[in-house]
Amino acid sequence: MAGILVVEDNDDLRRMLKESLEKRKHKIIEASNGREALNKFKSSITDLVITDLLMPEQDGIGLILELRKIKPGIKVVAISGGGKIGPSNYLDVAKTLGANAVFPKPFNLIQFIEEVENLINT
Amino acid sequence: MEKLSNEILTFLLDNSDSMISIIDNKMRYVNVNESFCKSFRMQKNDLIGKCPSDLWGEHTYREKIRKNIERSLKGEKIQYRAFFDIADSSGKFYEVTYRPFTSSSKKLSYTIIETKDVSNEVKNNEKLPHKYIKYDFMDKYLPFGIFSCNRDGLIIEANETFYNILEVDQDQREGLNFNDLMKVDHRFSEHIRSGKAGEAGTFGQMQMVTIGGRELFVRISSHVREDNQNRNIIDGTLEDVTREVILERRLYQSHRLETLGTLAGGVAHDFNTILTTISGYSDMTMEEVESDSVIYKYMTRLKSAVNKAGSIIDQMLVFSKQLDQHVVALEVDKIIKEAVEFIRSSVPDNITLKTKYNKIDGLVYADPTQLFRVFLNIMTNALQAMEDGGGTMTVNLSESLTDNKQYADISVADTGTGIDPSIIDRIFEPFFTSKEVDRGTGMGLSVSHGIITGIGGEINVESNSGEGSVFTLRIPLKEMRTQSESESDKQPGNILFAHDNMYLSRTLSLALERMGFKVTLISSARDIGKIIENNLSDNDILFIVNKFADKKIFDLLAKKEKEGKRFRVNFIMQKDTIEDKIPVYSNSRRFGIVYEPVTLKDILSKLN
Repeated sequence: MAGILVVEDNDDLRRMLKESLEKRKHKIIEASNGREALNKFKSSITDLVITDLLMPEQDGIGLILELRKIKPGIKVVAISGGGKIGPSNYLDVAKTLGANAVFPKPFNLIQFIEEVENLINT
Repeated sequence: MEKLSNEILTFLLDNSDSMISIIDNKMRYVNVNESFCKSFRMQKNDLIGKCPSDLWGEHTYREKIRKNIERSLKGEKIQYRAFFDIADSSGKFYEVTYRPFTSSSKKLSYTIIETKDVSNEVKNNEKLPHKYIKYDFMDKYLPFGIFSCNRDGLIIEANETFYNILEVDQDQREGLNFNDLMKVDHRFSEHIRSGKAGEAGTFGQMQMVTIGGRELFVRISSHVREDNQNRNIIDGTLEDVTREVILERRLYQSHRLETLGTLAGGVAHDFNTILTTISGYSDMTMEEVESDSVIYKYMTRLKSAVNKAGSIIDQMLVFSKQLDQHVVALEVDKIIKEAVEFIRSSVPDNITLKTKYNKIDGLVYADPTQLFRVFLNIMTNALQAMEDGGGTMTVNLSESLTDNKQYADISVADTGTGIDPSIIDRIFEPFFTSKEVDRGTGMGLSVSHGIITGIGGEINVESNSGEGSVFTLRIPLKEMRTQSESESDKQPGNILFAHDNMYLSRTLSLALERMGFKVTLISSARDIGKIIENNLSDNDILFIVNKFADKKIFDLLAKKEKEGKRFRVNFIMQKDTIEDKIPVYSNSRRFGIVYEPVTLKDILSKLN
């Protein structure tokens, strides 16, 4: 049971992730953009952050950098679905900057949750 | 009395509005009347004894006047109307009459030329007995057509260029109508039909069709006037702008496709997000039910459909050049031959397959699988266009040189249904051709377009409805480098390539080796140290992925430099990566940077 912050601007996907993780008894905090995510991160106990890489206001890579400044050991799982730079490039950059795992969309939910829980337990 | 009436007659002739001249059989003026002198602004004495060539120029004299004089001297009366100008006056319509005259002694022959201004008379006629555009430069040499038509579209008058542009033979000119030559109704048709006197307009990029059936684009500028029977006459110019239109449309299309590419990327992101939601809920549903239940089975089907949707998105991203392609140097004739042989078995009996392969001197940089699929895609389309009626598919391979660059030209022609001009501009768009995705190879023309333009090539199509289409691909060729052709006096030594992506490493090294380079692959950080220590030679070129580059490597490289070894180092990095390691190295040394994703082109650019 852990505190997970889900940062995703698409409402449906965010809700799907929340519901699937809550089924596994995790506590979910939601944010739909990077700015909101940082605020909620500072005022809560979070073990892991799931973030999309392309969002308005503060994109995911900027968010990862900021999160690591606040809590260097925070676990981050990045997800992305494409965009101008391309899914592969963006995710490589995310990994270089310290995301613990990357999942290009569409990803298999079961595998995704396994990896999330893996990271929480290490 | 006779003498008086002769005097009066002479007076009348002398002062007639018509110009009158008398020419002898030596082609010289023996007498002229006052009007003649006034028109040419010359004195009678200066005119007598001159030849018409002195007044009209050698060319006009030879082409027109001399013949008429000769015929008339033999007894023929000649009369015609023409439009020309005399001296500095602007052009008018004249009626010219050559009358033969023999002196009473029958010893001397003369011709009397009378030139009468008939402008007023002619202006009242709608249909002119002769073309009024008589100057060669207006008639034939001006690069645009000139015409007059009535409100029914009947062409009353036009210059040679007009008829040439529209491919109208002499015998087709009578009764020629604009409506026969328009493909669709235009604003111009409206202008002709109901334009009011004084109205003018320019109609650009209008599609017309020649008598021969060829489609072209024209620009028409025209003006409506009224003749003195209040009938509308439309005068105008017509220019063939087909070439400009085609170029402009290609430019617009490629810009549009680029924009669509960017758009495609954004749409792909949104789609992938939604697909994740759909498949995620399927997974969650599957967790709630028994694995042998019907719901579980339905969810499996759902996920499979989601996967298919995902691969369509991938293909669309190839169009927007966002997926990495694994590019190698290859011989394009091998690939096209493979594709032709592959498709040969699907060619039905009512279709003939013709091929012509010229030798290609050079290599093409492309992903062989993707190029193969592009050829297959285009040939499949050609076969599909000839499904019902049969026909011939012709595949050509040749080389060409444009602007000092060499290209491989591939063309696939079919004699099928052709592509409708209203959609031909859009066949390379991704959404437009999405229907095609499920047919045949599963790749639309949009993806083929993305692949070819991604390697610096061009793909174009020409088609006529009902006649068939020709797809042409033009791909840049790179010369095969041999030792003797190397431009630099320093031959590049070994290439040491250190990267953890084995597929990438192997692909690149294969291509480089085919081009004559020696490549050593290093797949772990540990091995780099050993290789640099023991195997580094002069003129070697290193490529090291950022991940493997650390202080130990830097120190090692510094040591080798001190020992006098001359080599070059390039680091392979992600764009946007914080380059904190590199300044440590860079303070004292030069190095190169190659950004991921690494392509063969990037490597080659560091080898000179």
